[in-house]
Amino acid sequence: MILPSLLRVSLDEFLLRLRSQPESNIWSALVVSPSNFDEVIEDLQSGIEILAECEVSSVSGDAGVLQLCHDIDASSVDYLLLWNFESWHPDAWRQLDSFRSRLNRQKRGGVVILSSESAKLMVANAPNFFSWLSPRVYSLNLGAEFLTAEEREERLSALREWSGQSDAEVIALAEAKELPAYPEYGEWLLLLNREDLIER
Amino acid sequence: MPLQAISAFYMSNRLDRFRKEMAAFEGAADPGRSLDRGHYVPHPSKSLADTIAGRIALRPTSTHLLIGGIGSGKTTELLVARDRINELPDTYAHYLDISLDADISQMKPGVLLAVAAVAISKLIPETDNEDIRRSVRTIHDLAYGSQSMIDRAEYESYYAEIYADYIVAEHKGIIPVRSETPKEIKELLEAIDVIKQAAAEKYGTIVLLLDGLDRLDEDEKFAGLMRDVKTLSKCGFGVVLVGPIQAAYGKYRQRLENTVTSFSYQPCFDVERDADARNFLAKILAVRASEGFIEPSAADSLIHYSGGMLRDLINLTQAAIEEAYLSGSDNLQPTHVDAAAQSLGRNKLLGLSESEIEIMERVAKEGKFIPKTDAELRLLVAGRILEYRYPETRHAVHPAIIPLIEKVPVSS
Repeated sequence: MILPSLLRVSLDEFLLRLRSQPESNIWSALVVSPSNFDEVIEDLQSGIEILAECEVSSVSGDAGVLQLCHDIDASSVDYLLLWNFESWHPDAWRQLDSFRSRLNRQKRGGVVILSSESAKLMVANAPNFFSWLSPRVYSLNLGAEFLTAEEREERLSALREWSGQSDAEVIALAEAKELPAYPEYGEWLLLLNREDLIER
Repeated sequence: MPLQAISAFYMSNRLDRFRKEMAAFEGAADPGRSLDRGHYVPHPSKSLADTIAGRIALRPTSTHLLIGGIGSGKTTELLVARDRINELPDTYAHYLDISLDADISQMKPGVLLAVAAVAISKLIPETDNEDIRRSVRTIHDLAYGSQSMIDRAEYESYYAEIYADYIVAEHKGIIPVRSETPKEIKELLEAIDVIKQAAAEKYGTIVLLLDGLDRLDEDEKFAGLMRDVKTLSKCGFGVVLVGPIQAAYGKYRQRLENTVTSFSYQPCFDVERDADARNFLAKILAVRASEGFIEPSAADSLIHYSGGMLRDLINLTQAAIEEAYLSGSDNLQPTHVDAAAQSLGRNKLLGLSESEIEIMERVAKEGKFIPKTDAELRLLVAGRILEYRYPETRHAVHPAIIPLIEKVPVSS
């Protein structure tokens, strides 16, 4: 029997989804191969900081549920990436399920990064926590581009039309550190592969 | 993505508008915030909150158990009941999420009593009365543990750190979970009695609304907590607590029913067979969304795919708003709901076994379901199979799953 799998999203699409969310207590989950965890966390961290304009930090679950909850409580950032649940047994997931309310802080969201195995353990043993994430549980299609080259050019055109500026003008303003702090300019520089000019 | 939509895609005002629409549907995690924003919609018939508040009005120290599936709206009912009870004279309702104070997965008899005692002791204003101060200290020490200096001669009986001729003895508290002794419970009850009398002048009868215990999925453990509920009632407190759906179907149901004054069940709203239920969910959408943002047919679709489960309605709507934002649309249309519903259905199928799929196929085909086995109860708890009790009792596979399992090829 083959069950329909989770929806697959590219990293770009996932970031755009996050961008549409207000500063709030909204959480999602991404199912990723463990060998790609480091790369995904790095890309999510930089992408969310630019597109959602908030401070991001990652919290590992490898020291167990209580330590994870303690680290979450101690963190003051707006957005958290929770990962490293691979050593968790069903009891640990059950314990996290009972602690779900402790993640409930106004204006703080996050992403839970899971392998397919840990996702199944979470579904089976932490139904309350999973219900809180659903339907925002996706499988990450790493390396896929959200936009084709044509769509990328169309989007750049839209940005040029919106601002009345050219790519060169935007780059010059960014180099002079005079670019207005609108998220559209961050996206523009990303599309030009000049994220090095984005001020953090 | 339609290319003509891209020019509008990144305009800040559009983003702000979508974020505002999405923020209005926040609250699945914390229903209290939704109530604060005035988003509560009264039930089509008398709500469980009204029923429970009515019973508390007649008998303030009665005990009430509210059972329901994940995301069925139990916390909202509890919070509304709190507000209703607080309109009564000489009665004060105090909401308490037990999961914030104790590890629910490790609950044992005595813990609920200790958590409740700490919460009540916090209601007492600063006082010079030494009896009250001592009782508050006793509750705190028994609940969270304490240290005391004891003579070296007693060392053998304690795990302790040595200071000169004395030992600092560590007395573990009840809340971090251990078996409490009758002596400790007696001390705790004496202290509770003192602070109850101190609180009575200001609050009248205190009614404790205990949330979070629905995450205790072992019905034996849950039934074991009833001793604390009875004790609290005997001490002169009203108690309303939420419990897991397993309590309604497990072997302890009769015992639970016999223990509490009332046993209520919060089912899903039957949006397919009850027009009032449909209108209720439509009002929930209308009170939160800007006028015209959700197309009427999209609202119908959201109500259908929610299955009448309140958390699914809210989460699905947020996900559909996300889809609308990504598509470049200016409002929420049925295609956005379809995309979000597909994601919800796929999420609900994650990790299911062949036998669980077969149960759902059987329910979808025959419409009959009497949850008995652990697998059947899990399907009910996780909202894959939904239970309706009005206008008639029936079960159905979650509507977001139906289109997906119809496509699943069943192997021999």
